[in-house]
Amino acid sequence: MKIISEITYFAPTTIEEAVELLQKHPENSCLLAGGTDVVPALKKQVEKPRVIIDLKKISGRIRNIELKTIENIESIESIERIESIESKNQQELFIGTLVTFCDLLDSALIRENYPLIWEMSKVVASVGIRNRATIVGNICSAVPCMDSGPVLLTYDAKVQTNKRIIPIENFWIGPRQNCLSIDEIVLGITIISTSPKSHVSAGRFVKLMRYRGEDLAQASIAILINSFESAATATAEVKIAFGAVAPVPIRAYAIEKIISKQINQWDEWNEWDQMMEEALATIPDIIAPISDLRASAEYRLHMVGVMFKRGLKDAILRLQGNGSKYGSSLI
Amino acid sequence: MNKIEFMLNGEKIEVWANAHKTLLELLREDLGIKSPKCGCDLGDCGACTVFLDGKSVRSCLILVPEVNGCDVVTLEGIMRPNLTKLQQFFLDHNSFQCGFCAPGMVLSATELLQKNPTPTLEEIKEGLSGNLCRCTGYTPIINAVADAVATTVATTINE
Ligand SMILES: Cc1cc2nc3c(=O)[nH]c(=O)nc-3n(C[C@@H](O)[C@@H](O)[C@H](O)COP(=O)(O)OP(=O)(O)OC[C@H]3O[C@@H](n4cnc5c(N)ncnc54)[C@H](O)[C@@H]3O)c2cc1C
Ligand code: FES
Ligand code: FES
Repeated sequence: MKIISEITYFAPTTIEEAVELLQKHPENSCLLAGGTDVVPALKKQVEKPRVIIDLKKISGRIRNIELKTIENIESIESIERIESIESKNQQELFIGTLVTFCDLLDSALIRENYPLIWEMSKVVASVGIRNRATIVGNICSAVPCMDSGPVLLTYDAKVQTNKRIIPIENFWIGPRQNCLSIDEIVLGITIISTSPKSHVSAGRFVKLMRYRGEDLAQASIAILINSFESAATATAEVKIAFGAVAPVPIRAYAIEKIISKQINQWDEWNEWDQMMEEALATIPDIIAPISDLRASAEYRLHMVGVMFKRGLKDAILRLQGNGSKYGSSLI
Repeated sequence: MNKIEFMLNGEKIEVWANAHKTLLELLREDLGIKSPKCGCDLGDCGACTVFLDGKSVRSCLILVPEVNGCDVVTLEGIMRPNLTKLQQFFLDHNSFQCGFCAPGMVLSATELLQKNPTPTLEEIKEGLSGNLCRCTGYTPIINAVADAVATTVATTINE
């Protein structure tokens, strides 16, 4: 399938230049990262931009994966955020805009500190796509079945642009729609968390596909448990998010409440069945799956329950140190 | 038209091309490099795989100007002048029938073994996934890579 419309290609070397180009061509321009969504869209004529602005010749921080303790962060926006955090024992992860899924998989830092991002990246498409596709491009395309969405929701990620910092939950406004303005460029994704010394954390990402290997999600779920141990008590927080079963990836606050309550008075597995019953009953109110060529709404609804049950169990086992290996398949 | 300079299989190339041309089209139609094939032209099948700066990519999803200043290597480039050791394993296992998927399979397997010389069967399957083969059912392809791994491991132990 050839691209039939002519395009003008720019490769700015700074973010400022790229912003200027967007301002100069407000109607018909499109940013290009790995191109794994943009180029198929050009071929299918879903998008008809006349101007393509390639970000890949820009050097600097947008190429990096960085982890900093919060004290080292200097920018003004970050200082504002520090004030709202009680403990100094915080760290910030920055994933630059040009970081690909393969970069994430190759990063020991990601594998050790953010295993859910690692587990998710492993099931995005195949190596040949992951070598090009960026996680920022993934969220910008805002396709409801994007793999990165649920995981970033559970980590309470934020999107840093040239203008502002947007909580990931507010980033998507509908299928294939993000909230960026016409001259706004994402610089990276940030995740602030307490340093691993003060808590143990485990999770599970489960992706339902028609076959193993390269396929988009029929449904997906991310579960993250953070357990904070102090001298007196242990408290745990549970975060859960779904993908491909609503117009945008969504957090499941109602389920989180049920599980968090139970998990803090965890009496081995005695209460499991009752907790599951309560939690599963809330799912139909949270998600709004549709039928399409990959799955029917009924199948998606049913499987979300199965994935949630198995996923939570494995996440708890991982927290206790005897769950499955990250990256193994569960369904 | 854009002027684009890049390295192709070790040689410096200079071309003028429209920005809406893909790397796959440039290679096959203008430069006569025929190992990358046009299967789906949408990123799904892997037949158009080439190495870009050392990593396997889908040349059907890359606009020509994107490779300006980059290093492109196709199957022709890695097998100069003869078959690679890994290709010999594919040959020995009769891995391919029509051969349409072969360049993508060979490049993907080459990249896998460069990164991880001792992959498990599961890792071999993952490394090759996204390369569709309509002929063989994959078994002889996977076996060839597994055999290459086993043989290499065995010879290094024996050395
Ligand atoms: C064969 C195939 C299989 C796939 N399988 C999966 C899968 O299993 N799971 C999955 O989640 N996805 C899958 N995808 C889609 C996935 O590759 C993309 O969503 C990818 O992550 C997008 O990143 P990119 O760098 O290629 O972005 P591009 O295609 O370059 O850009 C995507 C969008 O983001 C915008 N954009 C990019 N960078 C910025 C920025 N810095 N600021 C503002 N806007 C920006 C672009 O303008 C464009 O609208 C698949 C794609 C293909 C072709
Ligand atoms: S032709 Fe490029 S992936 Fe199919
Ligand atoms: S041998 Fe024919 S497609 Fe693989």
